Amino acid sequence: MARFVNVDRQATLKTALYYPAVWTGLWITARHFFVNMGRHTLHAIGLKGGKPGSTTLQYPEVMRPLPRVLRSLHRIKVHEDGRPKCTACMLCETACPDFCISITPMEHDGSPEEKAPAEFRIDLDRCCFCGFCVEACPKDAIYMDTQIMEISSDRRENFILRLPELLDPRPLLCTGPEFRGKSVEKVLPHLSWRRLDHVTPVRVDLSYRTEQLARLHAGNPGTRPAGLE
Amino acid sequence: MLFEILLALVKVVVILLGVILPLAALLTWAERKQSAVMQDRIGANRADILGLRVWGLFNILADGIKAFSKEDWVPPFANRFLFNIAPFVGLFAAMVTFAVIPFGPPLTIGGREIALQVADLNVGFLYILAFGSMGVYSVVLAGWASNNKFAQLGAMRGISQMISYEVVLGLSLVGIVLVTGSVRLPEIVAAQGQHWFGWIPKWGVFTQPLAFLLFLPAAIAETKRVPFDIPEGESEIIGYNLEYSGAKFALFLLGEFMEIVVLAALVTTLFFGGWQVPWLADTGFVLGNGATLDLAPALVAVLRLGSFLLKLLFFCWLQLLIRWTLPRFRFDHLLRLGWKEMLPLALLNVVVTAFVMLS
Repeated sequence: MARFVNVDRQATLKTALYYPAVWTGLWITARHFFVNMGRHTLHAIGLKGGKPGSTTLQYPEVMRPLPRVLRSLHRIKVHEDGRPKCTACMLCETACPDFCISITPMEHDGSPEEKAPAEFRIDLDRCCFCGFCVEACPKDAIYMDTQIMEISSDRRENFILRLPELLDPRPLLCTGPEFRGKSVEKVLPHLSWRRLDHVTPVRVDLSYRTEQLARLHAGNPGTRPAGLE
Repeated sequence: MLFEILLALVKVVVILLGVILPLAALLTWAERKQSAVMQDRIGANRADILGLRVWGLFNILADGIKAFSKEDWVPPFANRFLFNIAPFVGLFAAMVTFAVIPFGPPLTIGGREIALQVADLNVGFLYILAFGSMGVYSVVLAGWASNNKFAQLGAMRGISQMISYEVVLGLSLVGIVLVTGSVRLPEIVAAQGQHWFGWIPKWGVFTQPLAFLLFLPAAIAETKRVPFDIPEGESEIIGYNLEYSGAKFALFLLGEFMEIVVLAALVTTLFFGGWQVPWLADTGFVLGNGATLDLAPALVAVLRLGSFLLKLLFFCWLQLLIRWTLPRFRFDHLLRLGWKEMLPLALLNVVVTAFVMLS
């Protein structure tokens, strides 16, 4: 049953006059204007100490501090000798609710685990950034702490991360139009403000895959084996 | 005679190209920057020439280039002629109003007195009201010629709003005319140079405070800006300039910014003493207690011109402040405010002023 509520909307003299409320509002915005203009002026004449005149961050040049637990773009950690920590145990692929991870395992005699990923693909178009893969990983290999969030492209294939990009995600940031046609080595120093030190691998060594890749290519002449470069 | 015509032409060029147009262009930038500063933001600062940004001033240039490089589209169902002239009517009305504003005291150069005013009409006050109401034609023509239901609805809202507030606008100014006893704007300004008890300047805002409180909102309603932007209502109800694009749409906006300058000049002239500086006579400062400070005539003239410019800029700033502070009226509230609240007060003001002047 409908309820009827009688609300007395009779305007008092103060609200009917408009002017008191109008001047109060104007006073608030004018105060903001003058306080901020004062701060801008102080900064302009070189007094950098005071409060900033605005809360704006000039985004592409200045990054907002992100929480450390934020789930951003994936990466796979490497051992000191450049080997991926991943042992292709498939736990993350199993845990993934979106089926966006696909791993092609291979034997790797040189490692204590005797197993390594020949390819590791993450389809970012499907990924929901839930972080279940990170929790599932028994080797602490996959992480989502790169703080890279600018994932955009006009092509679907650019949303598929492969093993080299997962081991060193920094080049993914160098895809903007201002970096087009430039080598990653030249661009990366300009991105130092992004604080990518924690995702910078000491060394990446994927040489263990070459034999396996060659064998797979030879076994399927003319075709590209699924899940491999 | 030829000299007079040349002088008038020079005045027109200097005022139009030297003051109003640059000020209107600057206001497009000031509006974005001021609103940003009021809202703790930075505002437009990215447009640059060779890496030089100058606080985003080049955004004016970028906006202009953008507007003029867009397609000049006239809808096939529109009345082409009326559609094309509508924005120019608004611009014209805003520009010519400035002709009667005295922006400085008469200068005497080489034995010849030069009035710092384009046209010293003896009906200056009526001229302002007449051309102020020309602005409504721009809205009507734009809405009607677009042959678009929504544009026409916007134009109808515009007509009823602007005509309603014109009544209050005219009546609130009658008080000023009664007090100063003239409809010539230079005389109105000169009358505001007197003082009560030698201390309080006889500015319109002090002699006619109620008229000022009625004039300001009514005049802002005439400029169709935010608390009264019902004819346009860009954020949801869209209005009379719906079918316009490119340069003609930019002309509507430029006309609006010119109206801001004109309104600021009007408020300054009618209510804040025009070019008068408090306690500044022709010879120098004369204070209420008899103390005097003699100044050179040139310095006095500069002070008075500066005072006009300062007041002009202040009222431009105040209008932007109002535009970025107050939300829009609902349409019935707007008309109720105009007809049932402001009009009786304006009439009361006229009657009371007349009685006080008689007694």
